[in-house]
Amino acid sequence: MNPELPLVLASVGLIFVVGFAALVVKKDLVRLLMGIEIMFNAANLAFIGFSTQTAGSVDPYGQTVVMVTIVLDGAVIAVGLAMIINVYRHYKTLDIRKLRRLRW
Amino acid sequence: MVIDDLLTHIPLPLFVLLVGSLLSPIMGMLGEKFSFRKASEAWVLIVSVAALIGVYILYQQVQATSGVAVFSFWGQPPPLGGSFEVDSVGVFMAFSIAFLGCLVSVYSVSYMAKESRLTEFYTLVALMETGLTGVVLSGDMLTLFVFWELMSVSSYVLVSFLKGTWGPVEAGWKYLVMSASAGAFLLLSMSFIYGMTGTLSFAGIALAFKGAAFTLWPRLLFATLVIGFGVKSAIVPLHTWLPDAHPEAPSPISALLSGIVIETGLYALTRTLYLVFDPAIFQIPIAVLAALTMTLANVTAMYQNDIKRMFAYSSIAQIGYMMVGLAAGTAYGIMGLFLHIFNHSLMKGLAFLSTGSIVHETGTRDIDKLRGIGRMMPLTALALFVAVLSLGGVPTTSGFISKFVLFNSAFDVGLGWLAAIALINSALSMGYYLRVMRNLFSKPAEGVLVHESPPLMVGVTLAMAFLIIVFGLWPAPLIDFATGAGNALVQGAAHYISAVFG
Amino acid sequence: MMTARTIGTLAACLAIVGVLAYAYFVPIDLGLPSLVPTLLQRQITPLSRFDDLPGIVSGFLWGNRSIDLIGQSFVILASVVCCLALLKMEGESE
Repeated sequence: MNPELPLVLASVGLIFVVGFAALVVKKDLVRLLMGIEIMFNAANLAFIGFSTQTAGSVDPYGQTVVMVTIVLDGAVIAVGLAMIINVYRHYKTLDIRKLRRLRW
Repeated sequence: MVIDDLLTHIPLPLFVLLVGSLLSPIMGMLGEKFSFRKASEAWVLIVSVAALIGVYILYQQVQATSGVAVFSFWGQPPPLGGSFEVDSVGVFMAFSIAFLGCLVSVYSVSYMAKESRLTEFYTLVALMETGLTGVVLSGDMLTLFVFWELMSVSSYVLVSFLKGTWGPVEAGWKYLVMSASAGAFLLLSMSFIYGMTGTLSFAGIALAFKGAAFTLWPRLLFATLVIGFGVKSAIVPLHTWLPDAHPEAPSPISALLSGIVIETGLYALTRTLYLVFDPAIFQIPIAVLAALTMTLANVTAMYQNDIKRMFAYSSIAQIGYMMVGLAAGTAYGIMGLFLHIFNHSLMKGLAFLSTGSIVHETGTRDIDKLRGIGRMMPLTALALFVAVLSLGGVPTTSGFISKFVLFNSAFDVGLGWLAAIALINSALSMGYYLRVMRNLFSKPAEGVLVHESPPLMVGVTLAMAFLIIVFGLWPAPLIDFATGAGNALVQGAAHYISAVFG
Repeated sequence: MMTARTIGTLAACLAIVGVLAYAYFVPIDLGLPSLVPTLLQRQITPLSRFDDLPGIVSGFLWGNRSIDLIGQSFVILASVVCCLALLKMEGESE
């Protein structure tokens, strides 16, 4: 068992909480996308941490998963940014509190 | 020979859909160049019908190998390599997806005839269908995640496709934020599975978690799994994107989303929970979530004035009924769940498509303004009436049979309180459905004159209504199919594992 | 000078550093159940400092995971078509 695994998992938890807090607290649309990206990267770090579990060796399976998910997350963020452009064309603001017209 | 060799390495419907969606933008461009106006529509229709034929051939393949067929690339066997492991459950879900995809493609030829960017629309519909088929056929969690993201990315933009007004744009944004963060939770749960077992293949996970104790890490895994899959399958309290996204999407896309995308999320949750946990462990949490989902959705639906929003809340309630079957945990309950998935795709698809015909003609979604439209559009209103009867669970429609199976299975395992709540909710839902029908058939206001919809839209809706009644009176083939699926999921774990590990 | 905001930020930084230091210096038993199935083949390769880790990982990826690479290329295709659908201006008055 790798002696640094608790440190990696503690930082995964902290980064995930930071990303989730950014998603809940921030009011700017681009910052919400940054929060999503931070959460994805926390999960990727967890994969890498678990792939170096046995001390002195590495399991390349975990790292290939990360190589695939980085690309997938990039695609999601690209679509999100294009959607922000559309939102700006309609609402003329990037404040999430103004996007409340669809209620109830 | 080449085809036979290919067919043992990749499932045929997935291959057809992948090639079809890759060539779809090219067909659209060629159509514009040679001014052949319906090129991309024709291509997507061909691809959908070919996918349906492919599902039939896949069914033959699964029968030939006595229950589970494993597909993997040349020289890359599971559990190290990505694979598609297809049993009766996968064939059932692939059939539902291909069937609804065909019907919706035919309908949207007429509905979206006057919109712009049609090449992109049909390409995205084909890509979403590819993603859905990949999710239900996959045998490995990374493959599931890749096709899950493919399905999600296509559906974000299909919801906000009519970007001329502010409604779809805002609804699409909310949907994207909630669904992408759920993807991050799903990835976190995959990392826990990888950390505990060293593999991500379904057969390996089933072998590893057999009889494992429910300590802290499996609890964390359960929570992140439910959040990750639950946003997409609209479990309360993670459902808040659905009442905004489904009304604002174009009607054929609403039908696809409500009809099959949220059910695929529920299928993925079911499959993963059965692989990792013992059914007795997740019975109580899922039962509580099911009761919460049904009650909140039905109560909120009664206050809606927008017809599509009301049907969106009704979709959430139907997901609650399906979770009753999941909470029961027996093969009978899971049979009810899959039967209700297929029936709901027909019923809710029909409801959204006929509502789409009404909205297409009148231009409004407000129930009060739609007074008396039923008298001027009799065929569409008849189809909507059949859909509403089936959603409420009236006998001789297919909705009655699947609801009966679901509530019966809850009684079998001692969850009588859950079945009672479900029955009360079912009766409550007829209240708001019939309010819409009464409004449609009452006396129209002055000076309102609406024509019947174009014949293609009417034809598709009437065909679906006919199928609902036929399956209500003669459900035997569907019940056999669903029973095979239920048995394969609950009792076929050993067979599933031995198909990969020999 | 000592507003609530600065106090909150300082407290958060101290908490983060504290948690990380605790995780590093104090030996914690994580209780991570090791449920590796006996029939599983894993390719755990021993690694020393200057070994070719990118080569190992890419070899594994291309040798065992071609399905996911194809799927990922379709996701890229989907995001390209999505951006086209969202940002095209044909048929609009503005």
